[in-house]
Amino acid sequence: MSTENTETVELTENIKEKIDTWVAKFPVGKQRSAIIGSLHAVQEHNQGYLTPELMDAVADYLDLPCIYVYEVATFYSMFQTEPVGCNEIAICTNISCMLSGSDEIVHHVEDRLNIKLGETTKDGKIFLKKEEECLAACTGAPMMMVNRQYIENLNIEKVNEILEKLEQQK
Amino acid sequence: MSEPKITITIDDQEYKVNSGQMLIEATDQLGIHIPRFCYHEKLSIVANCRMCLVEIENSTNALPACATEVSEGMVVKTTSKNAELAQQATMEFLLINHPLDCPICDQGGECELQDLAYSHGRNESRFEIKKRTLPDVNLGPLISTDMTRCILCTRCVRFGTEIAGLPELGTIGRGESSTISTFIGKTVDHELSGNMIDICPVGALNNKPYRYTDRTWELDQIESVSPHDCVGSNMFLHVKGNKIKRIVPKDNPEINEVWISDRDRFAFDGIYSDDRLTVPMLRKNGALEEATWEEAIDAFSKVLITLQNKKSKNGVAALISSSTALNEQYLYAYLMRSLGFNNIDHRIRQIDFTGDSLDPIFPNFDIRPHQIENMKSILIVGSDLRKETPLIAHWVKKAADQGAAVNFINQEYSEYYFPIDNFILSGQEALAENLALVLKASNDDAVNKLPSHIEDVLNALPTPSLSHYQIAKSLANHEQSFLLSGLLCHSHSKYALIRSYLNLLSYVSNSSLGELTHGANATGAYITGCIPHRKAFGESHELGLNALEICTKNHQLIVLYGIEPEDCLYREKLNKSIVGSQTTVQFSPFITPFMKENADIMFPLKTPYESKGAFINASGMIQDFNLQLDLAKDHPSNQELLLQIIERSKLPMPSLDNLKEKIKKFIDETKNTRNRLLEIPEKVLKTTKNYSSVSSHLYDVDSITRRSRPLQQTKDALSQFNEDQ
Amino acid sequence: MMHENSICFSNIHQPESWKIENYMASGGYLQWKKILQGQPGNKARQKIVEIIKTSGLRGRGGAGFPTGLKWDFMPKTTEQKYLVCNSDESEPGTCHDREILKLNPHALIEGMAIAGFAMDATVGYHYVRGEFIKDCYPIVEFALQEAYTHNLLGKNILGSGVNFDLYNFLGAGAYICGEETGLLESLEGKQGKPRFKPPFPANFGLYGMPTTVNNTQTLASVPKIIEQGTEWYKSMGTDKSPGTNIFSITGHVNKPGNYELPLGIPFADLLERAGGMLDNKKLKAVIPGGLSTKVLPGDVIADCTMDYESLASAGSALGTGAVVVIAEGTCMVELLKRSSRFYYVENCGQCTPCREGTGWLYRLLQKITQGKGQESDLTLLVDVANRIEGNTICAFGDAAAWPVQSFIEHYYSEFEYMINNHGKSIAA
Repeated sequence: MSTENTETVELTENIKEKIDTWVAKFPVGKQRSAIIGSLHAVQEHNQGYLTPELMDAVADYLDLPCIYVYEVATFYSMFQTEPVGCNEIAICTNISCMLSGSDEIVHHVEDRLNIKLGETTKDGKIFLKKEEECLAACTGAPMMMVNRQYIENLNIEKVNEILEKLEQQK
Repeated sequence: MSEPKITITIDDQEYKVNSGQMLIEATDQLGIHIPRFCYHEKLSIVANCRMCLVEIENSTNALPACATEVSEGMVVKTTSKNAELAQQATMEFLLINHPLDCPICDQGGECELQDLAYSHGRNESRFEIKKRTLPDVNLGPLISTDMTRCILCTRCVRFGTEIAGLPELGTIGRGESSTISTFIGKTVDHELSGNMIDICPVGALNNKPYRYTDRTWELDQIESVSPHDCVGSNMFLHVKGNKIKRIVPKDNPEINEVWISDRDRFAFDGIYSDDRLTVPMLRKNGALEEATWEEAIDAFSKVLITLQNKKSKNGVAALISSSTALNEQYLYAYLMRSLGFNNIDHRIRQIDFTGDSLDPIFPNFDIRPHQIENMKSILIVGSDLRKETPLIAHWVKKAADQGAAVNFINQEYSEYYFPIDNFILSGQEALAENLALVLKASNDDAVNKLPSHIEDVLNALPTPSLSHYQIAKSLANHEQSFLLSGLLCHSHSKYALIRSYLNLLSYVSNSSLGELTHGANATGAYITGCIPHRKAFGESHELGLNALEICTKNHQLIVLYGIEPEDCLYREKLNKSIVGSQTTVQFSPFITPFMKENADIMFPLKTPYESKGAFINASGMIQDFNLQLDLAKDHPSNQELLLQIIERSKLPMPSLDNLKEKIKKFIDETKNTRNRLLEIPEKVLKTTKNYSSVSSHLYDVDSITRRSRPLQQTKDALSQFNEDQ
Repeated sequence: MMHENSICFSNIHQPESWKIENYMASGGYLQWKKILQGQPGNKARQKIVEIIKTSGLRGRGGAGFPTGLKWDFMPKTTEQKYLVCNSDESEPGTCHDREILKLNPHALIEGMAIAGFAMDATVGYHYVRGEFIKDCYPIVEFALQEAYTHNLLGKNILGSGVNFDLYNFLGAGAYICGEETGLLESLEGKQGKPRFKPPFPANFGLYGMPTTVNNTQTLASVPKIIEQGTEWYKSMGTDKSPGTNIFSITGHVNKPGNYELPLGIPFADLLERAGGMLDNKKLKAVIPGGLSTKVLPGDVIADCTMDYESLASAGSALGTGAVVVIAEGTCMVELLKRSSRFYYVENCGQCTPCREGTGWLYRLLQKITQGKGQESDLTLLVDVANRIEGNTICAFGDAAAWPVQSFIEHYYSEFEYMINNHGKSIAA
């Protein structure tokens, strides 16, 4: 059921296995439940974002209409449907973190990286995700996720250390 | 089976209503209006618009009438302060981001949002902030989008999933930026997709070809019937002055519900094609020139009388379209037969005529379309159903969705959006045989066993496979079973044999039978005698040439009524016959380069969109179409034209009085006496013809559809074009 | 403190408390095994339901619905039934379920097995919020593997004839999936848009089958309740709010943290347990149960005890027990704006009042903080919030309305000041 507009792309064996593992958790015929897990796997493998071809490939592999996959990919904020930098930083700015100084951290990072929330650095290394949900680590406020790792009790020094490490990556 | 009745109170009045339904269904039946957007009687309930909020006793909050089941003693207030507050709140929220597009929006005047804003909206907006906008999408040549107007009722999304069975649209994104889209530049291609235009309560989805042309209150509404297939879908033509502007469905619960196919909706554009024939043409001194009606009628009558006097039994051939009005068919057949010409036929997409003597009085279709929904087992043979008759495919889908077993025996595989139990891919050659194998399998356990001479025929066949047995069993096990044969069957080289098998299978498994026929009025063509082997009302007569024989010969006179060679399955043959015949007369709405080259007399026809008449659909329902438009000066109606020719040919004038009533009576009487034919004549059995590739083209079924610009830009039409290249 | 860490956190201070051997060493899975070894039929099932009913355990996900009653709603038919654990912890201020997943996942697994048995739900799904994918999801997967390896899950468990298969599921970032029917939609692979109720999940749940959705903490409490008995459980907490709750105390306190304490504890005690106010500042306000509960001024909550009834009569709610402490000097307008932004971004977009109204609320607050506000904006804000409340498919609409209503009710003067001073905050 894939589109004729985009070129087809083949999923790797590794990813197919991951998708199969997801599908196996659900009753036969309910493979739609595996869409989210499949997109996680595909996105991680593709430097943190999804492309129409990849989404079509997932729909094809799961034998589902493409629109089902598109709906999920655009609804959940962990999925990026546009190219983004290969490292993701998501600073929590919800109430507990706000009360603990998250906004200062955000401004600092924006200045340091010379980008605004939602943008990627020029060298494509860091994507500063606009995080508006609460990340459920409030007792460690202020905090952020770096490539999905939780880093709590932030201060400017700690943040700088992390940024340097990311910038030094190849 | 009726549900038990309970008592509920609505706005201080007691009512008895059926239990087991939602409040809004009950109030709709009672004529009590509750405002709504997302609720639609043919779609699932989502309760997301929040417009139908009403006050219900013992509930703190207002509840949606569409999602609240009626219960004994329920007390409802639809217009109390609380109900109105809730409804007004919804209306206010809808209007804060909805653009003030009314002056430029096609939906104006027939907009559910406008109507409810009038009754439930504020005079002034309190929203003084920038409104959000949403991007438009290109859904194809038929549906225009202005997604900023969308109120996310999701009727269109649900239509795709539930009615079409193909989810083409979805809700992309989340929250305020949610938008309805196909997401990645895809078009919406399902053959029923145009219905989304009707169900969209605002101007987000509109009729693209009609866009910006007119205002709804300027249009007149005339009832009509689709001339493009044998279903007889009911429609309204919306007319301004002398022009049809657009078409919308007319509700007919027995035929098309509230839907029409895209073909029904948009084909009419073809009548405005540049190659419309507007004046009669006469070949004078080798060149085809414009002539007066007098001249043309004179010339034609002269030819007819000459040939009548010569008693040229086989010198005259008359072909007629199966999408012609009943009266015209009757007059045409009358004209030809009265002159002694018996080579008359409408079946230009049929190649096997060996079963003519076994033809029913008119093609079988035992049930009305809506009854298909109640069938529990359906076998479809030789049909690309979605392309041939989108609305029949819709009824089959409805049956399948309710658990009916649907089986196919077909030449090629095509996609359906409902579960199919068995799809026997037979290819061209083995279509008849596969059907015979199902028949053989059915006979094994049948109560009504086949006559032994038929059994002998079947015994010569190989053993049926598991699929054949499953299909046979499915038909036998269900009282409500249905055999449907499609247009591919009709055009098959072994059509007569297939039809025999179908009749036998219907007998053995006690199933209803339905044959799809080409065009809108094949049933009428049979009854009026536009066939070589019978006169009107089934009277037998001297046998004439059938359509294929006509096309393979040259004639002294060949007459084409409502046909152009492109309509014919053996078009090349017909072209040759036209070239080789002495005189060619064509009655057509259009003039093509080929006909300009080869016709001797041409009469302009009014299309069924422009003239009054009646069609008989496959189920034998006689339905009128009612729009009469003036075309060029002096352009008579088709009926009038034929009468003039009859008169000029010095024939007694036929009476058209009560013709419809006579035919209706005839249909009722004949239907009641029809038996299944338990015969397979030798010659039918022994048919060995060459197989030509036949496929159904959704938007190439007749001359009008072929010329419809919007339809020819659809994916279906373009892909066919690529195939043909 | 007395009765601290007595249920979900009973073992978390052990090293590697998440490992099955350590869980078992302190009596873990004993209750599950007892059930399996007993006569595990319908009588035994109903017995457990009655125990939970008697205990008075209430759902800890925010609504506080009596858990035993919810379990009892499940039809006693033989069709496939499901148990779902809601670990989509996303209520702002809440972070205690995460701690259970990291430090005591087996309590949850055992709780789910027992609950599944009690309701004859032979398949369980554990819905974990997507952001936990690298944080605690790997531990939860590991623990699940351990449970299977020890034959505590699967088919015919320990030869008892009882089946219970449990699967972990990952979300992908949507607060609305914490709503039980939104969660079911997400579990079915769709957008997490809540369903209208009725029908309720017990009748029409996952894949249309009878389903019960319970919160992490609720289910993780079950083994201890079975082990120690209902009297023990009711000896803690209050009459109508028995047992313990894990309070996530965050904001302007010295020791923000998750503290499992009996319900009914006076707020002052809770504050003290969290080390008191940061920098000795004066208490201004508290959001007592996560952002979706109404804010209470410091002097109001000072008289409250931390349980369902007391907080409700003060005009708020216990919610998730996420206590956000706000000190003097905080701008309530900015705080409300941030809160409203959350609801604006997280609404699913399905129904009209939320989809359109939350954006309106947020933009009005933006207008005010940008110095362009008018006094009439405050009446408008409350009116819009009132028009959202009660008119939506799910409680998200109410949750979006309450902060606006309560902040403006209690801190009107701050809003007024900002409007009259071109966006300057009274707290500045």
